[in-house]
Amino acid sequence: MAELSRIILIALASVVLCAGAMLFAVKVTRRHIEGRRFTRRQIYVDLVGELIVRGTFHHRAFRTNSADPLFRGVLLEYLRMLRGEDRSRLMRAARDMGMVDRFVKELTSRDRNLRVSAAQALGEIGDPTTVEELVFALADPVDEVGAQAAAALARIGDPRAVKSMLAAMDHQEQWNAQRLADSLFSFGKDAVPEMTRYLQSSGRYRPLIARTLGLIGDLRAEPALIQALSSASLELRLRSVAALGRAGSIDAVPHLVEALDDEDWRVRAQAASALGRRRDREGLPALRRALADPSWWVRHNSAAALAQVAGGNEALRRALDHPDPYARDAAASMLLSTDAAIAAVRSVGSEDPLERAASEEFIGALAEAGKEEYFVAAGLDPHDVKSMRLRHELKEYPHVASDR
Amino acid sequence: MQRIKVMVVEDSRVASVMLTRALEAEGFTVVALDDGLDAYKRGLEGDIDLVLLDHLLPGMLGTEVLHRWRSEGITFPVIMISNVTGEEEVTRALTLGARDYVRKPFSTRELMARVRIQLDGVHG
Amino acid sequence: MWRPIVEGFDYFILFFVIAMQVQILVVAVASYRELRKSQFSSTYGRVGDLLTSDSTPPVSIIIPAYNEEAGIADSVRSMAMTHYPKMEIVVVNDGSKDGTVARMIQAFEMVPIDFPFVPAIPTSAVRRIYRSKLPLPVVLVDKENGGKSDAINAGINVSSFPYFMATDADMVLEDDALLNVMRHFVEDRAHTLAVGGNVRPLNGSTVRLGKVIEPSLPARPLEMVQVVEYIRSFLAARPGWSRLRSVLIISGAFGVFSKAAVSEVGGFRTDHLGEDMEMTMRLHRHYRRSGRKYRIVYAPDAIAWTEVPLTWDVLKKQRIRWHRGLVQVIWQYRGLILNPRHRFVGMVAWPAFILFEFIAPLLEFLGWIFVPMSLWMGILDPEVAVPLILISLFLGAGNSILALYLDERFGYYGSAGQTARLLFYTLIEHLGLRQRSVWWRVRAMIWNPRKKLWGDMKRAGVGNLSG
Repeated sequence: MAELSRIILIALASVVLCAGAMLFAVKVTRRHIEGRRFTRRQIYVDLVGELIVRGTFHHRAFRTNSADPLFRGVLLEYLRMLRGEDRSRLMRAARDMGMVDRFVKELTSRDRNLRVSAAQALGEIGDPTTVEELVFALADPVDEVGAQAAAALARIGDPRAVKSMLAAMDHQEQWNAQRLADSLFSFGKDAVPEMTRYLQSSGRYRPLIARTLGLIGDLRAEPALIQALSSASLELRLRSVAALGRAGSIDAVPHLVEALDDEDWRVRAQAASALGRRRDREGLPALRRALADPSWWVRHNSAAALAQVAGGNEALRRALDHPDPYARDAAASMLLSTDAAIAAVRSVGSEDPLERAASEEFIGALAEAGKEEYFVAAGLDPHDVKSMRLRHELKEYPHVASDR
Repeated sequence: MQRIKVMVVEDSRVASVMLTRALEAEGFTVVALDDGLDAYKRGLEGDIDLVLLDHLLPGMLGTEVLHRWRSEGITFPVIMISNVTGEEEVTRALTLGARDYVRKPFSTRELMARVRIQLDGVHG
Repeated sequence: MWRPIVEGFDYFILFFVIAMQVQILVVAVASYRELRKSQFSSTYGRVGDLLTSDSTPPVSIIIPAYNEEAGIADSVRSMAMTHYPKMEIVVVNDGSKDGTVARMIQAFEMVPIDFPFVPAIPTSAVRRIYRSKLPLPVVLVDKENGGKSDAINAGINVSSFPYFMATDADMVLEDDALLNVMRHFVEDRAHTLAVGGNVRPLNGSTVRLGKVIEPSLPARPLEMVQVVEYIRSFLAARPGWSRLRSVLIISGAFGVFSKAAVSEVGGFRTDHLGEDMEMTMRLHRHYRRSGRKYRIVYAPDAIAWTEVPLTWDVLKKQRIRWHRGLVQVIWQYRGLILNPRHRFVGMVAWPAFILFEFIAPLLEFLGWIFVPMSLWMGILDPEVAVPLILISLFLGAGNSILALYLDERFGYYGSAGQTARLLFYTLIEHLGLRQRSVWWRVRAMIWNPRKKLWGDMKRAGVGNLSG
């Protein structure tokens, strides 16, 4: 027993001490190497920058350093930074030095790190001749490679890749699907027909695609998005409502109004915002009704939407007399955040009696809705605010037009 | 004629080298800095004719540097260069008094044309 | 006849301590694998793209401030410089007695606003809300005093984004810290509830304008030992537990939470010493009970720096407070122990945590009394016992060195001198501070819960190092 523990102890102690010594060596060497790499990188950065400005893309530096990954990294960084003529000339120089071929080869390497960085690099370079290899890489077992390949394809922008990307998406986790969707977004309008078709299929990531279509904003997708509003999937409905709010035409408004009666409050809230975005007067009555919605967010969004629509402030103003206390509060809170509240405070001391009365009536109405404190904080005398409130309640401002 | 002095505030070395070289090739004198606060102080010295300003900087954010210059009454033209290209950011920078907002990746030629337009406005 | 009992007890303690070190070693190996994975995705994953992507979720940074007049403006400015596309900074003045509010108003040109918000969590009264006129998304909430948790809750109520980061005014964030945390939310937005970050001692490093420019080691042994401790906790322990899906603490000083989840469980508790650990455990329990899939993870690449105690006295108070918080949490969540419903957390992580964080200090304390005495009285055979003691000490040192290996990826403290000092303190940490902190932990357990001992203790840095 004693013997055994002593042996273990000696072994352990030597392992620990050796590990300590090794750590020391590793840290110090690493620092040294990094320092040298840093200097070499600086030299490359200066050199490449100089060559680009001088326009000497056939300098022998491109050939002599082509094998150095550090040099390739610097070139990629420049490619990322630039666009236009300089970029395409630099890209040609990079291709001439065999960079594209090298990366295409690395795309099928066994080292996953190499595959990822190759896909990433091909994205930076954006060479149209590499589409086929990149489409193949979409199915790579390492998600990261697929996502980078997708980003690369988006850069190149060949719409033939869209279908493969949508197909690849269904096998991915949420996060990678999201990245693929981001890449699809970069294709812009070219990707819309294929994505619309996907939206009508039973694809797993239809909500994501609905959202992306909204971001792209192409009317060709509208019928499919409207159709998706009646889907059983809550997320798809949410995304479609938002997308239509962002990019729908006038045809979408009645459908958005319908979505204000959705069973889920999130869809209703989103629909209210969407109607606000559309700024269509057709949505006004429905939004006014939604001010009394049981959900706070729906009320808030409806009030915010009303403030955006032409004539909405007037609707908000009238909602201060709404029978539902929630609706009154939502309207009052929103009115306070508009310019109208500031303007009213400013015209309390106005020369024009009509203007003064109008603003006092306005402040009185808001005070009645419980927002007295705001005006006190804005510098009005509390007694004045109280009397405005009283006079509003007694309807003592007969000459103020009711629909100011 | 005195040479025109352009300040480049950019913390990415690649971008900084690229901008500096391109401006020098146009015949400008370049002051390159990589820190927002240093840039703010340098801008107060009063010999700068134009600034190319990045947004994400150590020391102080580009928009804040700009805001501080403007509230000190310094009016040289500032062109923002950033890869943050949200509508909100761009609008904010322009409202604060940036003359132009250039998104990364940028084209050096286009950028030089923009620089010249701003300088014509000042010296023309 | 009592001699064999004492002897048995001595051996029990010796082997228990060795078992504890072996457990730490196992977790450290898991940490190694987790760190490799995370390094892969942070090198090649598009962390930079998050900065420009439209789908990056916005975050509210909540800074509770109590009498922070001196440093609050600089911390807000420093937080605002964190690289993140969409965020707001919510400073919550927790009824300060100094000019915190005035300082904020002056530095950021704050103006009062009428801000409709739903108080999802009840807090003490909010007096007024301000917003900055500067091009910075800064919000100031002025409220009655209610403690740190209460201030965070008020911040949650006012914040407008779906995620929030609770932090302290004296935290210094690396530029990409928030991006590295948020990456985990983006990876699985539907299920991720909370992500913790890596907290490192700031002492000794060069800071300029709220950013660490030259990470370096502190001068004094007290601080040095804490550096080693933090490295061990945040690099050797937490990534491993994260890999085992059993993160038990998301540090309240640097952790991002989903607002919906925290509101759902009722916000941070105001009557607790370890409110961050309590929150994490509550999330575990709540989501397990309601049978929903969830994720609570740790992000080692997300780095924030904080000043650690400079004096023995402050350190002692801090450690006693941590341990009392831990005791409170253990008592509160005793129902999870060996509860098969809580899967790995209930069956392994939580019992192991209690065994090695709560019971171990007691046993170790007794060990430091009994073992030397037994040796002196000749009950224990020094031929066997001394090597065993040394084995446990060397295992401890080995674990620390392993932690330093794991830390090596960041490239901090790379010069020969600094590395040598780090190694030196790793080796001698077990001769002195360890015993002291064991004693503090035992001390911490003796207290009268009715007496509010902790009322005046300054809240410092991280929630807890254990786990």
